[in-house]
Parts: sequence; structure tokens; C-alpha cells
Amino acid sequence: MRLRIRIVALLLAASLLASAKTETLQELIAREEAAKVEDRPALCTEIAERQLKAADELYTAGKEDEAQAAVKDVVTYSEKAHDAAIQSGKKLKNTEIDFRKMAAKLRDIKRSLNFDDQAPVQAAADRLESLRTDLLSHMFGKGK
Amino acid sequence: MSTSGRFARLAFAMLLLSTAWAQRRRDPLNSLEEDQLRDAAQDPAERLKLYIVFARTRLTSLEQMRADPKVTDRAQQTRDRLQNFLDVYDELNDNLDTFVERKADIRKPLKAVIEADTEFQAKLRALKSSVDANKDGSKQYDFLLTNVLDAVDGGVQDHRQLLNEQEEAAKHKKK
Repeated sequence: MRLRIRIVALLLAASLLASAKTETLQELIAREEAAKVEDRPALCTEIAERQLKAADELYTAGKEDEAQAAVKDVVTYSEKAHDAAIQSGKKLKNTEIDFRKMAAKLRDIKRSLNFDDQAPVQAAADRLESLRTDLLSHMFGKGK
Repeated sequence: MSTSGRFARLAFAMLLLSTAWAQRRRDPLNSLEEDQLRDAAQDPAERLKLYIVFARTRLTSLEQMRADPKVTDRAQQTRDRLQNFLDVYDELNDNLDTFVERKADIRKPLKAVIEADTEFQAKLRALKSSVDANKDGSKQYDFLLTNVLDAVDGGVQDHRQLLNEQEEAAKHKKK
């Protein structure tokens, strides 16, 4: 009997893990919209990171307009993550580190683009840096 | 107002705007370094080698600045140079991720990255010890220094693990 319960529990855990891995962007966005404020920084950051990866792939595929829309999403969801982190006072450090890494990725993407396409990507990197600086100010009490 | 007067005002406004944009724009690399990276776009080994050089240059400049007795805003300059190093180090890691995703064989450059990690770690730990010993003005960059050390410590582990994975994958390919 115990063995059966263990097997069922393992199967359940495996299916949960599999569903988490295959969660689409739309599902993730829906989850974020329904989430508690303290869970939003991580969810919004995950959405931003996914869109950043998508932007990179779209630029590589020569789909500049779609790539720019994805970059815009990166900024939008980073702003949401920033606001939720400040509102809840949770995940400030993790969010700050994630912003730092995303800004680095954006700068790296920018370097691979034609001069005409660089400005919005640089602007997004700058915006993330500014959000990051603001989080740091809150972490040290200046922004309270 | 004459046409030439209007043109001069417009040109001045554009100059102000471009200066403001340039000041706001934050990029740890200069245009020469960007050109070098662009030339090495298709060569992971060359690209990673460049990032190691860029990161090392940032740490050397930090050491030189701290050894210079004429420097007055040491804390601020330490902070700026540490941030520059971290930005370059983040980009190095980002490039590693990209090459791994592309399933590139980066065993050789990875060994160079790991050697550089050890060098960076030693230099940063020496800086941390010196800062801990003389607390003068270190409040401005204490947190950042801890973050930089965390990033490099994490990098050392990740890069070694990645090298092991790549060695393992290469063994299986040979079989």
C-alpha cells in the first residue's frame, strides 16, 4: 500500500514538474496576473527573461519588428517586477541581480545589431539599469 | 530671427540632446572594444578571449587607481570600476550561455576563462581584505564588492561544471 502511495506521489510530482516546464508564455502571464504581490517579482522576471530570449532569437531571424515588441515586453515586465518587489519588500536582491544580467544580455544583443536597430535595445538596457539602481536605493533605505 | 540663427539654435538643441543621451547611456565597453567583439562574432574562442582581456583591464585599472596617492574620490572611483568589471563579467557569462545553447565546443576557451576566474578571485579577495582592514569610505561600494565576489565565486563553480560537462560530451562523441 505504502509503495503504491509513493508511486502515485512520484508520478504526481513528475507531472507537475513537466507541466511547469512546458508552461506557455500566456499561461505564465495569466498566473502572474492572478498571483499575490510577493510572488509577482519572480513571475514577472521570468516573463521578462523569456521575452529577452525570444527577442534575441527574433533579431537573429531578421524579424526586427517582432524583436522590438519582445524588448518592449522585457521592459514592461521588469517594471512590474520592480514595482511588486518594492511593494512587497520581497525578492529585492534577486530581482536586482536578474535585472543586472538582463541588462548585460541586452547590451550583448545590441552589439550584434545594425546601428539603426541599436537605440531601442540600448534604451531598454538603460531602463533596466535605472530600475536596478532604484531597487538598490530601496534595499539601503534611501527610497523608502 | 534669421534662418542661420534658427539653424544654430536647432543645432545647439540637438547637441544638448545627444550629450544628454550619451551621458545616460551606460555601456562598459568602448567603441574600439565593441569593434573587436564584432570582428570576433563568429569565433567563440576569440570572443571569450577578448572578454577575459576586457575584464582584466578593468581590474588592473582599479588596482592602479587605488595605488595612486593623488586620487581624491577613491570610493566613487572604486565603485565605478567594480561596476564596470561586473558588467563585463556578466557579458562574458552571457556569451558562454549563448555558445552552450548553440552546442559549440568551448573546452579550450573555457580553460582560459577558469584560469582568469582564479586570477580575478584572488585580486578581488585581496581588495576585500584591504577594504575590511581600512574601512575608509568603503560604504559606497561594500555591497557591490560582495556582489562582484559572489558573481566570480559562482562563475568559478559554473565554469568548472560546464567544462566537465563538455569533456564528458566530447568523450561520448569520440566513442
